[in-house]
Amino acid sequence: MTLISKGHLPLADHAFGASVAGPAHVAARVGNQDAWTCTHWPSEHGTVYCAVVCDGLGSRLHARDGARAGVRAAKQAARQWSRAPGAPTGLLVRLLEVLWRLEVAPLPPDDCAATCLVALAVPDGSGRRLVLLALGDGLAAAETQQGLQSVGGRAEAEFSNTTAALGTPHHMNDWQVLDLRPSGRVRVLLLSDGIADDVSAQRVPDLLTWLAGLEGRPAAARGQTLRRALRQWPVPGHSDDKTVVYLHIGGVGV
Amino acid sequence: MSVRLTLRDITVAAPRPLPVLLLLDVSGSMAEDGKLAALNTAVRDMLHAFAQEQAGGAEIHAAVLAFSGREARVHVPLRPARDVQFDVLEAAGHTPLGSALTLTTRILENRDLVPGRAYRPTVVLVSDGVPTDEWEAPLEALLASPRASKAVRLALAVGEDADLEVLTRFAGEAHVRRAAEARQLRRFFRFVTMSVTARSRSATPDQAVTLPDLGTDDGFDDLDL
Repeated sequence: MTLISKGHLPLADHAFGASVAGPAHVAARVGNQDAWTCTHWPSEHGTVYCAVVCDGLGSRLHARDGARAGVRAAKQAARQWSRAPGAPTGLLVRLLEVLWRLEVAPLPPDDCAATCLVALAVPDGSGRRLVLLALGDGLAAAETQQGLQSVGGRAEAEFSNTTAALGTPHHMNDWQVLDLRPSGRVRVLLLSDGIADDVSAQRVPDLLTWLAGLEGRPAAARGQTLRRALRQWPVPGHSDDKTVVYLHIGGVGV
Repeated sequence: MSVRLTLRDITVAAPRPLPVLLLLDVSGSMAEDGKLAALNTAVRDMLHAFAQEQAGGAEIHAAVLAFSGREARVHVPLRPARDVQFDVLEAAGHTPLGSALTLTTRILENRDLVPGRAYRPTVVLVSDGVPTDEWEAPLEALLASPRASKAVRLALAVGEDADLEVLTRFAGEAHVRRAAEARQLRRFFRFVTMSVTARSRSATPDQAVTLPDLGTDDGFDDLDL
């Protein structure tokens, strides 16, 4: 039994997130340079879910603008792309890149450089299509009946804060893509590098479990708890902005 | 009874490292004119300053690689600066720079020693002479390696006999200075110390480093290099 219903967020689904400025930015009186959204909209075949996290590169003059533009561009691209059933993911990536450049204009793209994570769940026949995209050093992970799969994370040759991003020279194949057709319950996690760098791959399922523990709480209390947890991040010397988005589709009863 | 997970259980317990590798020429010629004494003092002061740095942010990790005789050796292994025990260096033998560069590449490419969450490492090369082993292929290997090539590279030529061209190929013209006297050597190390500690506290620890002018020899310094 599926709980996906046309035009409505089903009761069994949960989507939430939070973002806080890192201590280094707070001390420097600089705003949070991460941006995020988690949204849904009705389509002909059911509800489309879209989550985005963008992280403006700290060394760039307009990093905050670049991250916000990334979220807007990803959402626009996802809306357009999701109307074409079976469209290749390459078109989604290209559309996002173009829309981001239009969003940041007339600022120079390099001054607005931002990493980008996208999760998009689109109804597909009796199931759904789940696409994860990652450009840069954040982490996007999906837990399905096939187990945990992820894209992004720190590349083998990179150090902290050296990453591919929108606005920096990169190839289309720098985008990491997962195109899944899961059945049943799906849990998705998007993490900016301020969190992803401090959670080993083996611990990602534990983080999903920790976030699942917040599902039953009222939205206001949950947001407060999550923001407090990110501000009191337990890693010594942590300084980065931190953003997490959690999406649980097709929960109880599926 | 199930125990509720906390974020402390899920996250790594250590701060992000900011690695600093010192590649120090301790060939026989460094024993002349007080160069080695000045170097030992400058390195000791630098490591002491790193160990005292407690402003939060990144954790400075330091290593000292000494090269003399036939090959380079690890004098101080890469570890948190507060745990470093520095024994003074002694000078003897040749200048095997190639061996030092190979060792540097091996360390920076090792993700157990320098994890991906580390900030961009700094490599400081100090030499007073001309390499006595094959150094060009090891330098090319370092500059072509995926991780070692991303390190911030700085170099100091000590005295008039140092091969500036070799150091320039290592670090690039903007990142090489020459110290003709002990005070300039100390100034160079003080600048690197301040630069690294500032980066460790910064919101953007991977910002570029600009070396200052080391000043001129006014003849009033205590040691004559």
